[in-house]
Amino acid sequence: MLKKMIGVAATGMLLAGCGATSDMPEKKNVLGSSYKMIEQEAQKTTVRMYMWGGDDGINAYIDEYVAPKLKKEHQITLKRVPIETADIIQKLRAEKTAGKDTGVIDVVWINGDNFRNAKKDGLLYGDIARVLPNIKQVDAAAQASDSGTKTEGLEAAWGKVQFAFHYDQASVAKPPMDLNELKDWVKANPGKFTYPEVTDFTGNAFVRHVMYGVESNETLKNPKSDFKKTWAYLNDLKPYLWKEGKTYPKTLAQLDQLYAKGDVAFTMGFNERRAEQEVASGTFPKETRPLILEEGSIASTHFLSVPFNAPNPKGALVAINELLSADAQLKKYDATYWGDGTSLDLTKLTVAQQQAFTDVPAAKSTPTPDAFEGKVRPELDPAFFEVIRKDWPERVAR
Amino acid sequence: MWRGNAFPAVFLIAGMVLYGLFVSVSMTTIADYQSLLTDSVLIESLTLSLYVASSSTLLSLGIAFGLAQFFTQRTGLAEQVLALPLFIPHLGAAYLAILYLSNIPVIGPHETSHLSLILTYIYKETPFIFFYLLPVFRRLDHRYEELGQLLGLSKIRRFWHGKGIFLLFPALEASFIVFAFVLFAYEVPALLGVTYPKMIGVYVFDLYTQGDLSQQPTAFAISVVLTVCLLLILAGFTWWIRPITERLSKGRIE
Repeated sequence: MLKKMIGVAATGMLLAGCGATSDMPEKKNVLGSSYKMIEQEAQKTTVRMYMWGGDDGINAYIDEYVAPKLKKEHQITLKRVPIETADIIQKLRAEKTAGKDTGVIDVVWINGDNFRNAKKDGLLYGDIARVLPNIKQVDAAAQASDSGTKTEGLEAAWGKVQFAFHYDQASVAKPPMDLNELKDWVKANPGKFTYPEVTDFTGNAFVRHVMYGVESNETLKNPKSDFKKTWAYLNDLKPYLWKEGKTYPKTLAQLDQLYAKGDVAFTMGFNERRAEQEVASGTFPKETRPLILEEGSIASTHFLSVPFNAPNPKGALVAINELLSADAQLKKYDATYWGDGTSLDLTKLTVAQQQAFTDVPAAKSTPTPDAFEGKVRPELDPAFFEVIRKDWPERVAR
Repeated sequence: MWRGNAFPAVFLIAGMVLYGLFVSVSMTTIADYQSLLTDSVLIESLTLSLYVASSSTLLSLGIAFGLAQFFTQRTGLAEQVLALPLFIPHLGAAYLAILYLSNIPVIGPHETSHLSLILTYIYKETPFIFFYLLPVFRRLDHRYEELGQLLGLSKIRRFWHGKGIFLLFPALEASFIVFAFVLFAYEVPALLGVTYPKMIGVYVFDLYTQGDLSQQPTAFAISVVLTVCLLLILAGFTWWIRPITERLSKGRIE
């Protein structure tokens, strides 16, 4: 009996292996056809969106706003699957190796390293951007490159945010304005500041901000330079950090917890509006205020894409197009759910739409637009991320 | 006791390990292994892992041994209570440590003493070793020790001949399982460990998942080396230590 079962299983595996090699001519058709056709054929289908699920506000935005909207306007059922983005990429890579032409993921939320890896390994569907009507109103600069990697239409810009610090005004009377003042403040208030370790997206970004502040333009052109000044600055901070710099929060979520508990007086992160919701829900201190240092703030864009083996690429395209609509972007910008910066170029919208964006109230924890005046910095080359990951443990954390 | 054919299970488990090993080896080159020798970050990570794994194992073994000795002649609720930690996942135990040890200096999570890590493992592994050894303790024939007393042996020799030789192999077996598990564990050190040095499981996982994935061969090389080392220890157990302990317990050698 057992031998029989093993036999059946083995045959099944063989068959599955054979079946997977069939060609998929449909792919070209989808990207070659008009959006009207795609929209029509996508009706009454199910779209599975795989995305990082660690933020209740973001999840609620998808479940309570986007999903009903898609159902109503396109009879599309949107299913959100919470998963780490790096795991999605691992899964797709495994499916690619195994020749699995029909996967389970229709839409992914992606950027940075994950996009670069996905692009390198051919894990994405193709130039989806040109099919989407709403791509015309997306900010062209944001759409062109993802943390220094050219997007080539493989993904569509979904949101654009700035790096910002947040501090508790109750314990920081006079906030530091630049990196030098920050260092002085940290020395005067030992244990009240820290940043996530550099394996974390935000921790790595903090170090890049230090690089922007202390390294010369010449050094910043070459990722192979020795970033002595950066490591020196961070080592100066180290003994005065939380837990005397013997350890760092592993993730931004941990830093946020420390900030929420009042153990540290600062937190940081991409998305200048991210504290609004946390303050409203009582997680962050009431007197949370924004801080943009003189040295500048890196802009970061996050994207939506379709995997190479999406089972429902048409539905995916319709969903993405809807997520780029002015309505959906406005709802996302509003702090009710998420408070995420829009990827749209507001000048390309109607006057009424522009006004709607301007009318969205900003809490005291959100910097005013002029706080970024002359301080917006482009993202550094991905090679810098790698250098920081490699060198920081040995030269700072050790 | 179940007397069915164990071959399918053995085939599945061994097959998975060997296939994994084969895939890992095929992802690496000789140069990847050579580079491990000069990787000082790796060496610090390995030292820490060996320290945490061996101290957790030894302490759990010691406590479990005492408990098993105590419960040999008794049964009751207390024994069942000891089973509780077995039902808490390691991740849960780590969160308990964060909850209850956080504000204790030196012991708390993320301290360079690594005590919270070791305590968490003691909490989780002591019951495992305890329930592993308890049946052995209960099967021990106390007449051996009585005989020893009759022959006028010292206390230590009485213990060794009456109990030690029967307990040696099960204790080593349980310790090996715990040691191998802790050595390469991820969840608990990821939550409670310090930024530097990281335990080997966390270090390897980071290498495997990060950035442009160019460090993946190194991650595979480390896994291969560790797995081979553990397999060698296992082989030593099977072909060297087990025969010795068997002969010991049958009284063929001293």
